[in-house]
Formats: sequence, C-alpha cells, structure tokens
Amino acid sequence: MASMFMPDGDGLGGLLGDLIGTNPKIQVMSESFDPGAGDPIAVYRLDDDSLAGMCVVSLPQAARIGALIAMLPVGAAEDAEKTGALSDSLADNFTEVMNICAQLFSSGGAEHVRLEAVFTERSSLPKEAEKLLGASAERADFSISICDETAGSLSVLTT
Amino acid sequence: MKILIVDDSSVMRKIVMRGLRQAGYGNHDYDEAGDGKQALENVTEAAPDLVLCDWNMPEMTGIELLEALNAQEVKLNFCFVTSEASEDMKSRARENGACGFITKPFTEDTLQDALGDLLG
Repeated sequence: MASMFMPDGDGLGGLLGDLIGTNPKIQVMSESFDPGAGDPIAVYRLDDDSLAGMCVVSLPQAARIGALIAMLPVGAAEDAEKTGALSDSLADNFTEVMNICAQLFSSGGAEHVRLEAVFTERSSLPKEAEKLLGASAERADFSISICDETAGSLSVLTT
Repeated sequence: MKILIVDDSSVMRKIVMRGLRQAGYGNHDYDEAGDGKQALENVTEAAPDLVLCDWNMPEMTGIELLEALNAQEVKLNFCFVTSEASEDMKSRARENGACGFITKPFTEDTLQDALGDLLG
C-alpha cells in the first residue's frame, strides 16, 4: 500500500473554512472516533483504485458543512441531526466538500487521490475500507466545532 | 458576456456563480450545465463567450469537452475550475487552448486574477 500524506488540523480547518465561509475550530483529539449510524465516511482511492484513505465526520458537523457551503438555513442541519440522516441535498453538498478535500491527501508530492464516494451506512463500506476503519491505521482524530456549536468529531485515516 | 458554468455538483455551480458576483462580475448572463455533454449542447444553442468548467464529470469530462469544442472549431474562452490541479492537467489544458486554471476552493481575488482581463 502507498504511504499517503496525512492532513493536519490546520490544513483541514483552512480548506473547510474557505469552503463554508467560517473557520471551524479544530483540535487534536487523543481518543479515536468510532463512527456511528449516519456518520458519513468519505473513501478515497489512488489512480490504481487501491484504497488511499478515509475522512469520517460526525453527522451534525457534516450537516452543518453541507448547509453552510450552500448557504442553507441552519434549520436544514438541525433537521438532519433530529432525523439522524443527511437529506439528499446536504449529502450532495457534503460530498462536494469531501471531493475537494481529496487534494489534502495529495499534498507534498504524494500520489494523486480521488474521492470514490461518501458512505452513510457503515455496512455498505467497501471491505478494505471497513478493515482500515477497524485497524490501528495511520490516523488523526480531531474535535471540530462549527459556528461555536457543540463540537463533534472528524477523523482522517490513511493507508 | 454569456458565461456557461459547467460542474456536476449543483452546489458548486452556485458557489462559482456567487463567487463571480462577489468578485464584481454580476452584470453578465449566466447559464449552467451538469456535465460536458450538456455543455456541448448549450454551446451549440446559446454560444457562450466564456465557459468555466470542472475537470472531472460524468458523461464527458471537462478536457473532453474542450477537445470536442476544438474539433468543432468553436472559438470561445475556456477556463477550468477544478479541485485537482496537477502539472499534467494544467499542461494538457494549455495545449488545448484553455485560458485559465482556477483551483477550488477559490477566493474573489483568485477569480479576479484569473478572469479580470476578460470580464473586467
């Protein structure tokens, strides 16, 4: 497996801030984030289709990212939190953000990385992605707070 | 000026449009297409002066669209707006006559630097 560039909190925060128009507060977290039902998981691949990495975001924060990038009212994100799932439009918007975040893995001359898809059901993850999620992989876990809302989690895993 | 924004993400099309307006280019006519194939039809029907185009899209990618326009000898300004920007991609874009290459995410300044001479 290739060794991918591991994005840091500043890189993630800067890129997200540029996209959603407000800088999230991102801090390194000591414990690993274990995604639950509805937490979206972005899976990234190299050009040879091998797994490159993943980005996992807690549902409320993913919903806010999806709403802010499209300047949707905060109620859209709150609805997602209540229902435990991203609406189609929030999911599309969040996917676009994750697509752009692919460039973080390719920094520093690392290989080209592309977004395969964002999965909202852990059971539908590709096998090797599920394996990476459960392994003591190269990972960075962050707490993320957007617009001073309650902090959630964002984790990056690389192969 | 007629400007066609081509991206398979509807939110990104809106962000590009919003960015252009915030950069001071709100006085142009904007149209949208969701992939290269739709864009090719739009160019034939509406004859835009400028195409702002994503690279990776279903049906027909941005570079395939540019190559198709060149094959049809369509003369217009073509600028990529994409999240990926390798030297190979930039080189291929230049070789095919693209007038610019904007990397997402972009700022008002980025848009003004890339498009100011054209839209100013």
